[in-house]
Amino acid sequence: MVVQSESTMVGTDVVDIVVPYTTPRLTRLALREAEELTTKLPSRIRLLRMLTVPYPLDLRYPPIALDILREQTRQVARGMGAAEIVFFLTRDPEETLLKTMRPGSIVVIASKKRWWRTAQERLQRICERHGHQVALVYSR
Amino acid sequence: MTLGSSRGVTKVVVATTVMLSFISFWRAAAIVLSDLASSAYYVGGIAESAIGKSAPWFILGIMLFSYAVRAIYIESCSMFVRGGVYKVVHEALGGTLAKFSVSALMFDYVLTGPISGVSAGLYFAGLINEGAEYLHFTNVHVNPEYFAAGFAIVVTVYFWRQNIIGIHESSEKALRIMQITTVMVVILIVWCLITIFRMPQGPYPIPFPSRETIKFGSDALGWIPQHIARTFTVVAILIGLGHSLLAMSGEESLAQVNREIASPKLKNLERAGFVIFIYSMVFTSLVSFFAVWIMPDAERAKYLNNLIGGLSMFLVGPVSIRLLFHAFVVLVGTLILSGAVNTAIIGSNGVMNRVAEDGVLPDWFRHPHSRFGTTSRIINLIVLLQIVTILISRGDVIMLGEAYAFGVVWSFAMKALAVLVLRFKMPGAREWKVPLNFHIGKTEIPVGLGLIALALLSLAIINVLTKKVATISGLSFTIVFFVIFQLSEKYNKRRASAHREELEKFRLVAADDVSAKSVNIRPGSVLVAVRNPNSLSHLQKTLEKTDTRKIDIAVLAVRNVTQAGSGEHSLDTEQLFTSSETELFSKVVYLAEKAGKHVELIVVPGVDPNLVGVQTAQQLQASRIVAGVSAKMGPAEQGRRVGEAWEKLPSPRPTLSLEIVDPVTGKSTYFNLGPHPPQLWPEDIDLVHNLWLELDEATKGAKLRHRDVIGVALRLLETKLHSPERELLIQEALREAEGAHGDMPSGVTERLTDSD
Repeated sequence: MVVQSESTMVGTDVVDIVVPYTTPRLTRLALREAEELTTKLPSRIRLLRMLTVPYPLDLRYPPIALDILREQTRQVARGMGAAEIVFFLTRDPEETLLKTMRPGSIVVIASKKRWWRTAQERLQRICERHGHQVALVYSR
Repeated sequence: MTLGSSRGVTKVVVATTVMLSFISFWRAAAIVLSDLASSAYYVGGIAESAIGKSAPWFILGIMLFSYAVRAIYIESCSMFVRGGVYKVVHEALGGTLAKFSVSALMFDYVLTGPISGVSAGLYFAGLINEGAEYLHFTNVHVNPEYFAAGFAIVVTVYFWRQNIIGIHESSEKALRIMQITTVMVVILIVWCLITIFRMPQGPYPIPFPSRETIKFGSDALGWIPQHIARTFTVVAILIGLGHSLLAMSGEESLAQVNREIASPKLKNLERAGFVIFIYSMVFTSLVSFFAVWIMPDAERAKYLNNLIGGLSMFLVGPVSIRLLFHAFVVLVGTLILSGAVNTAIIGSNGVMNRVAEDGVLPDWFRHPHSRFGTTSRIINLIVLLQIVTILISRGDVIMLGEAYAFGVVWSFAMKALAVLVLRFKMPGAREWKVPLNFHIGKTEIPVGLGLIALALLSLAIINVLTKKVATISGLSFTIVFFVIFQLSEKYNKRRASAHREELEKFRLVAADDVSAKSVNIRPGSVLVAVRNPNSLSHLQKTLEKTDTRKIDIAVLAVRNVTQAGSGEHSLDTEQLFTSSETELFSKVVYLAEKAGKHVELIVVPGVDPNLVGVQTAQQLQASRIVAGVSAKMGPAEQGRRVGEAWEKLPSPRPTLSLEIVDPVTGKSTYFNLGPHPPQLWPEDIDLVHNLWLELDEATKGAKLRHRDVIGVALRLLETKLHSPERELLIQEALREAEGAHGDMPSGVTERLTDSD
């Protein structure tokens, strides 16, 4: 995986609230929820966007122009109080997400309510299985 | 090139690049196999329609030969971590032939999509027709070829959309697909063996290839006259092999995954290659053997387009169960073949992007999609070519197979030729060689490599002569692409002439300080100091002997700043991470990738590199600093200076060891910095023992230990050092240091030499 950070490092003595990027609408919803959490405990929000680089592409050459992706993500996060936006170029987004989170991180995910298990609900289960607290918010 | 750099002032830069995660040889094998194993679905039928019933022997021959081809890939990967066809051919044979190879590779990619999509469609059509027959739906029957062409177009359009949007599946999916495929293969093999065992007349015979048993199909000889093929057995065998070599298409993927294979890289590459060889040989060749052993000739002829589907219907057991298994075969086939359609789009997009970056294709193609940011123009071009190919073929998988073989065999042949040329052009610069090398004087004769290259070139030439459609279409395609590449390169000549060594892209994170947390390494790490990109043997040695699962490696470059520059005004990341650091760290990344081990990269500004080194080691809680021998001074002087720097560290000063590696001999000299148990000379140990014996005798029953003797001696020494005898004592210490045990640098408490 490769990481691209939109800001400098911050201290590690605060709770890490992680918002994995899903869709623009759901990400905004999750960021709003995360922002509410920051008022209750000393924390900082990290918005993580995974970009899968499939084989046989070289990991250095993602199939999407990163400038456009960065701009899109910034638009989504604008005014939402995310302290850091991080891009990951990865073969395996879930594995990378789990690797990048500090123990005890709070993960905020938004999902649509469906009668089947959504991708976001699946992600919730994976994060919980790895010892992270997950706040799942449903969109109306 | 820097990415995402911050404009803020900074004191430390932590650089990261893509080489962060490495994969096991199992995963590498699964990724290659998800491409390579798909050919098992169509190669049996294609080969039999060209050369008759003896086709399984030829497929087996090709699969055994793939072991030799694998060796070529391992040798090229041992030379270039990123050793695809373009890179290797470019190094060995120059730009023109490299462009020819890429054109052939593009033809390979453009054909992979249609052949995989059409093959999946034919399997689907076969299942629909079989199912309808079983369920007595007499009016349900699809034309297999037209259905397959339609299916292939739908699949291609689906993946076109996914690629335009930029949605891709994780590598985990490849692993899952291979697991499902393995389940199917195991069931198939076991069920086929049971069927053969229960056949009353035994399996149908498979004639061993000979001039008499090879039955050439109507289009199998191309421009070769019948009488030549029938007279010369070697020619007949080569034609047969030429029609079967699709069985090893996909081997190129091995070079593409090599970069990410974990340490020990070469060993794991060999292991991955071996797993791929065994799996594909068992799956691809056994399927074609079982088909001939189990299915009667007349029936098998109906299923040449979907051989495994047909085979599943001739197994023993109730029809409903066979039909279910047939559906499973189709499901697996659809997964693996559709995956190949997607890989073909992704792969050709990647190749086109790379050549466009090299100035060999107009930049217009790389213009990103305004909404999704993907290189939609390249994707559109590739998918358009694929759809035109599907339409021209009208679902004829045999025609597609013939054409596909052109790209496959020329990619292999050019690669083999390039690796052979490199044996003479770059002798010695490789960790692994294709076996069978002999020496005449100082000249190495690569017999094994030469034979493989010769066999591949013979197969390539025989393919040109026997496959009219493939040759005409393949050559036309290759020439068109080659001309586009040539013209574009001329157009972009200024850019192309400025071709420089490939440099890594780094993401730079600015930080006020360096710590084990910010750099993401565990305490007890090894800190390797680097300065000269051409003198990194100490890093190479550290990478070789460090198990990075247990101990992290941090690589430190000290950015020299003047006393004035190190003042209150901090530096921008761009000032700290200049082109020199990019070049230096590109080499570091290359070595780390070659070893398959992860390293952390740090740039710290400073006036005194030794002081920066020990300070960084202290902050990272490193246990060892590794450096190369300085060109200006010997290891002893280097050790002394680092020792002096260590003395300047704030308390509590850490216990550190310093390793200085001689690039010529590879020998290391170790220095221990800080408090540590001393390593005593043998005569000192004797002295301690004798003193202990004497004191023990004098203090009967007091349970005196050796360490008590040393404790008393040290306290007496301390007392004397602060007495009028001080000068005498200092002189004695100097005599000791300069005497029998060599020159001991001050500031360093001990020196050990090790030859490793």
